[in-house]
Amino acid sequence: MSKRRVLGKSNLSLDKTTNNILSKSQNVDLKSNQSENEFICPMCNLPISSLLKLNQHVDSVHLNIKDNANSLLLNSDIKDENITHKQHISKSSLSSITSSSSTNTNTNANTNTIIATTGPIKLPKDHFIRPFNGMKCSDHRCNIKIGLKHSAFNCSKCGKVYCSNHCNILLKLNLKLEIINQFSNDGIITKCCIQCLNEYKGWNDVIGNITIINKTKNFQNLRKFKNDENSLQNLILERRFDKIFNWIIMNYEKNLKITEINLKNFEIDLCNWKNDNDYKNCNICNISFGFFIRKHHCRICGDIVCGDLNRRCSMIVPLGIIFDLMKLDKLNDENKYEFDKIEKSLKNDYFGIRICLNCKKKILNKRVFKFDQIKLYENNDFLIIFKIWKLIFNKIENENISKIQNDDENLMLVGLFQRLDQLIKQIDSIINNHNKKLPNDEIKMFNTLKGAIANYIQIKLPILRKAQEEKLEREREVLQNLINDKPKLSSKDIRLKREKLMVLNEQKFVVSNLYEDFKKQRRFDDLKTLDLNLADIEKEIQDLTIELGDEGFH
Amino acid sequence: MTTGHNTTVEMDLYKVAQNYVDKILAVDSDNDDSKTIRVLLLDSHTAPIISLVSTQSDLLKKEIYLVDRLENQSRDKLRNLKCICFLKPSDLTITNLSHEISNPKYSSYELYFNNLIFKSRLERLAESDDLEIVNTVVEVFQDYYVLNKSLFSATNILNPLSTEIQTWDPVSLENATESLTSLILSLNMKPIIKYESNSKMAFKLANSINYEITSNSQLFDQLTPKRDVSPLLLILDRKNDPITPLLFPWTYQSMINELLGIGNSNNNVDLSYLSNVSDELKTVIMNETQDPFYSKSMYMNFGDLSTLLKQYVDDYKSKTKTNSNISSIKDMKFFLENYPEYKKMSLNLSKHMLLTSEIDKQINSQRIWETSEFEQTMCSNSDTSNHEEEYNELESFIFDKPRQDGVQLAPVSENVKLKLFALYALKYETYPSNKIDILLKKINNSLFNNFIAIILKYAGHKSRMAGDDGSIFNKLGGNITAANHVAALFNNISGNNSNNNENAFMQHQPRLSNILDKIIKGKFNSTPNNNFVTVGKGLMDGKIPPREVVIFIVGGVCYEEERIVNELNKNTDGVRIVLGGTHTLNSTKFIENLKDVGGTW
Repeated sequence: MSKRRVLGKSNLSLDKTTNNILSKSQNVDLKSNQSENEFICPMCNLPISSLLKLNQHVDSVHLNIKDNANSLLLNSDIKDENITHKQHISKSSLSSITSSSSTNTNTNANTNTIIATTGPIKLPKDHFIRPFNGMKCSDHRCNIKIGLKHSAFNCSKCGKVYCSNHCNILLKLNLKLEIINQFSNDGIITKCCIQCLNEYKGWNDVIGNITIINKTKNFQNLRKFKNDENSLQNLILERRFDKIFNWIIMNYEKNLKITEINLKNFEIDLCNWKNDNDYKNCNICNISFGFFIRKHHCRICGDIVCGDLNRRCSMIVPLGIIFDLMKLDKLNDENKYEFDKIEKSLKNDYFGIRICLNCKKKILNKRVFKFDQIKLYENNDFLIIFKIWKLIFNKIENENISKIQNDDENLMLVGLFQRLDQLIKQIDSIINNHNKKLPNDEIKMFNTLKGAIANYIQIKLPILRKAQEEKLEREREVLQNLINDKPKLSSKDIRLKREKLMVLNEQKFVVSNLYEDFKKQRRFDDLKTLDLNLADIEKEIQDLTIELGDEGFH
Repeated sequence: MTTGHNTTVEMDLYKVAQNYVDKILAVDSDNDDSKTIRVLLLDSHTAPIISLVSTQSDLLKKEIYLVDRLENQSRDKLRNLKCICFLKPSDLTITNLSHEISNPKYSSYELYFNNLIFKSRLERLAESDDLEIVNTVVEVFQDYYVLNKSLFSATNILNPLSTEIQTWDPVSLENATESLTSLILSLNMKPIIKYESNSKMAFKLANSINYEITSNSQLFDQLTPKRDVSPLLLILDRKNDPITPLLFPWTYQSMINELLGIGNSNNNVDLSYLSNVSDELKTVIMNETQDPFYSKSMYMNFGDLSTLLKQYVDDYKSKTKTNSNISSIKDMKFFLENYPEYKKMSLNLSKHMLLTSEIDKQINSQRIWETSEFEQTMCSNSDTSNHEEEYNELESFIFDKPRQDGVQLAPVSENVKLKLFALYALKYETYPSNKIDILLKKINNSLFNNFIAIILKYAGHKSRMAGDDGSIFNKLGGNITAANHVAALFNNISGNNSNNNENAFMQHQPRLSNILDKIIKGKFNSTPNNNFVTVGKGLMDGKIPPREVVIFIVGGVCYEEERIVNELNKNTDGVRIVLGGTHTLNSTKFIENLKDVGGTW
């Protein structure tokens, strides 16, 4: 059913239609709208600038009217039964139709293309599903039946039939029925359903699609630029460290003992020391030198700096440490043995070289950092425990713990949980080990890990326990059938009872923990019931142990 | 074709945040297990941002075993661990970070900044990274607090007003700009910006956002997917609706905020001042994604809330029936197996019991039933014909007069009196025979004198927006369509017992709901509107009303307004609204904010 509504006076070419159907209610609409500059479409609330445009809008959007002239021109085979009024098109727009349609005839005869200079284009309507009485609105939340009371609306995009409430999304569609930007020229604004909007990328993908800007490349380029610059400057300093390194090796190879005198001679050769008299302030912290703050030369760059230990502008670095750090670059299998020996011999010496903070930063920091990484990685309790935890975790996750097939599986799972329990104990012992003081952050990490494991056990263990129960139940039935008249305990029975005992023991443990908790919280009412239960469990444990006799756990 | 396709992607800032967190904490799959333990470094800005959207167990799942602050100098060297940094690219943080990476405590660094970083700052970082340990630098946009699914606030603003009237506190302006920029980037939008023409503060913020957009135009123009309709960013000023923060709200979340205070940067409610509270409930977190009961009840009014809570209690009781009389091992086992779940449930239950009973206690002790009814009737219309009656009632509250039947009730607190007077003053400011001055003289209290003067300067008749867009004394259901919509919905939710929109305590309709109605209906675009000005020239309004709307209220946002936005989001097809503000308000905060700076106006 299509209703034709055209408002107000229109230009001459359309007057026939307007005169026919200007109803009272619409007159009221008109009055209220006249106060504003624009008109509002009574069907979709769309603001429209002029009456002419409103007419055209109503025709094209809300009516299934096909233009005679147009369909003739395009040889369209579609005929709309609902056409009640024919529309005369003014000459000017007709000429534009012919010009535009000539380009479009070849592409698709079914798309009734009109690109008029003033009026809106028309969208294809062949995909519209024809409504019938009693049809339901296509929106699944809506129960409205299409009929006299509720007229049908076709979503311009998908063509499904909706009631007026569920076909109210304004979209601009082009001739291919794609959603386009509302400011683009080759489309028209029309009403669609929410589903069509939801399938539109510019609406649906907006939220899942977060903006992330990766500046890593940018950063790396900047860094490369800066580092290239620095590394040139550092090359000289780097060389001097090499010299020290080689000098140590030379001394060792020639079996010369390092003495204060030959070290001093070597130091003086290493670089040009800056003139004492030129400097009155420390090169790094800018403190002025005096009686208590003495001038020192950095042996690497020759700068004059203070030697204050608190400010750390310069310090004497033992040869052993320099050697240790420098060898990192030069490590290969051949000389490793050799290096170890040199290191040992240097350990007894107390000789060192004064190095300023700048040189340390430029040359040594990188090596200290590398050194730490290697050293710490090799032997770290946290990593070891973490690895074990992950292994067990993955293993348990891969098993279906809510259903246990056989004894082996059961034993394995119980074993895994026991391992987890041990891990917690292990962590405790590491944290509480007073001989080896852990850094605070590591203790924090251990505690978090402990919490994570405990939490995991708390969540998973009841499921496992339930599965065990079920399995035991199943086996018990089988057993009952097998050895109906044999009261003597079979080996299987023993295992069963053992397991049951284990479960009970565990329960006892949990209950007594709970008991303590409640006691702390002073929930004495609950304590009574717990007390009873504890007694119950204990009694059953006792019974079982008697039953098992020598076969029980040792 | 399936009809079940109605999965509108709803507005959910938590999801946006979650996407970012997932991105930040993503585990490289090609690494072996042991290397994936990582340290997360935050700064004072980002720590609350992260804690609002994720929990410790979320982090644990991503192998984050240590979380620390960049500012903390006493961190240990753990050079075998990788480090992820989520930081705000502020000057101070970059300085700290440069120091950190030139003397690294961890083996490698992934840097995630929560906003756009200046090039100069990036250079500074590059310079200090001579060890080449930074392997990722990424900008993610999460420089705002996510408070509800569709509610956010700028970071670190306590009071955006300054000692000069209608002027920003400079730091707050900067924070608000940064937060809004990151918000629109996180939602992938390049919005059209509008602001209220009568507000200097809104004007300033709008222009400062526009500046950010134009100076990063390349970035903003590249955002995908492209939309057919540009989103709208509308910047409002609190002074145009001073009523909403002053009225007592009757929905759960709002009441918690009004009476107990929900922390702006952590969504926490501090209950430690109450006696007999167990340690677990000293501070409770109001996060709808982590608390199913809360997410169901947060927008409910008091009556519906108590019904739901009763249901919850019954549910709990029936589930834990065996708990109360454990008589056999079987019962015990059942209890133990489900113990973690029960514990969680009972903790959650006691949290809400505690909150509601505290609210109830305060409502009764502060006589809120009476005051609220009075303020609602006064403020839900701009009709001045009832002046005498309303004045008399106000007086009886202020001077603690006995009731007509002679019963002397407990006195109303000073703060409530101030609120009621302020509401009266705002309503009758222009009424020729108002008795503001007379009453002030009668009370003779400098506190009242000062504050009434301040609020009339801030949000009086002259400062507020004129005309229809400025109307603040609105009645629920008394306005046009969308308001009706909400009203109808409200009545649906509140069940059959409330006879149409005659809930005496929720008559007033915040101004925001009128504005949103206009936007959705497209009336905002069509009529030439001098009250809401678009930033930037040559931008015209389209014929299709905006579908995505970000509202930002300078001067603070109320949870009652969030309720309206939530309803609209839920019940209007094809609309996504996000509400935000410089900070969240309750009446106390609102009054404090004004008192703090208003003395010199």
